[in-house]
Amino acid sequence: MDQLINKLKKEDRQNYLLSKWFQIFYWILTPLYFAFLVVNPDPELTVNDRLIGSFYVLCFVSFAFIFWHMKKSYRQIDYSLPSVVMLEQAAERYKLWQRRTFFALIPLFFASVGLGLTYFDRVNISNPVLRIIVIEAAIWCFIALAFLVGVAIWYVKQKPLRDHALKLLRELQS
Amino acid sequence: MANKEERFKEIIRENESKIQRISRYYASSEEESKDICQEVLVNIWKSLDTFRGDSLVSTWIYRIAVNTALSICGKTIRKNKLLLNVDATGIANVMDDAEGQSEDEYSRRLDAFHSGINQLGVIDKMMISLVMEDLSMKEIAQIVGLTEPNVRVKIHRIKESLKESVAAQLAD
Repeated sequence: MDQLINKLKKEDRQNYLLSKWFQIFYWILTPLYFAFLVVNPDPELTVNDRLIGSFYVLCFVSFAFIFWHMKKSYRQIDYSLPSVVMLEQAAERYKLWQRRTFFALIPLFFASVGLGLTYFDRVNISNPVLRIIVIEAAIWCFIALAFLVGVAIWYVKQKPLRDHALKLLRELQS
Repeated sequence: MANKEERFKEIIRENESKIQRISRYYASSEEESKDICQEVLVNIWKSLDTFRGDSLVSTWIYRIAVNTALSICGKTIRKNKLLLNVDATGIANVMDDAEGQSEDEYSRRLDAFHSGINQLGVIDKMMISLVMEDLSMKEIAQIVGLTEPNVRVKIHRIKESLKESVAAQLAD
């Protein structure tokens, strides 16, 4: 029993540290990134560089926030709820299309703008509109590919859990 | 933290046998039963901070034990051999006509009961395990989150199907 309690206390401590690290990232590293990439007085940093830096910082912050929120919600699985409620929450948690899926578009949008600005001067297409379209198309192709990988992982790992929760719910409520 | 530890130890001390029994209902081996039991203890620890005493400690413990077991072995439970630690009281809670039989007949009925239970689905098994714990319909309803009449109907249906299964096996 004492061994188990020590293990549990250790886990509590790790969870506490994880949230602490997020706070460190949020309150220390983000202002640092902001200082170096956006408001750095270095004369070699152009307005374009600062704009790119701003979008990267926004991407980091929103990504970190979503990641932290996801971690928190996964950690808060409450087994002390009535079985029906716990199963409903499990089915909701493992759904592919949920609100946070759309929230993930926010950092991706910032990343695509930042990357678009980074590669704008490096792509050899004379028409600027066409250049933007080509760069953004390439970026969103990568994002779509990453999304497909995510869907495949969901299909293998999380869909069976959702199907199982829904099946138990049906059995319970029939 | 020390307070949490003391509270945890006290709850476990008072409910150890309950947790072990529920873990055993859902395990296919003694080893698996220990794993489920361990997982239940972990979830009790995690839920301890949010326990406000709105329900009885025993109801709260049963919820955690049942939900943990459903999460761990729900997918394979139908195939599992239920390690029932059924005594006369346990079986009498489910089978109203289990008493007053010869030892040989009781043993045959127990085997048939075992086999019948193993043919039940995950949820039915979960419900019957709570009946074997001698919980009231109200408590079972609070644990699973259904209405009391709904639980009553469900359990009646399961008992009937178990009786039919036992009778069919004894007739063979």
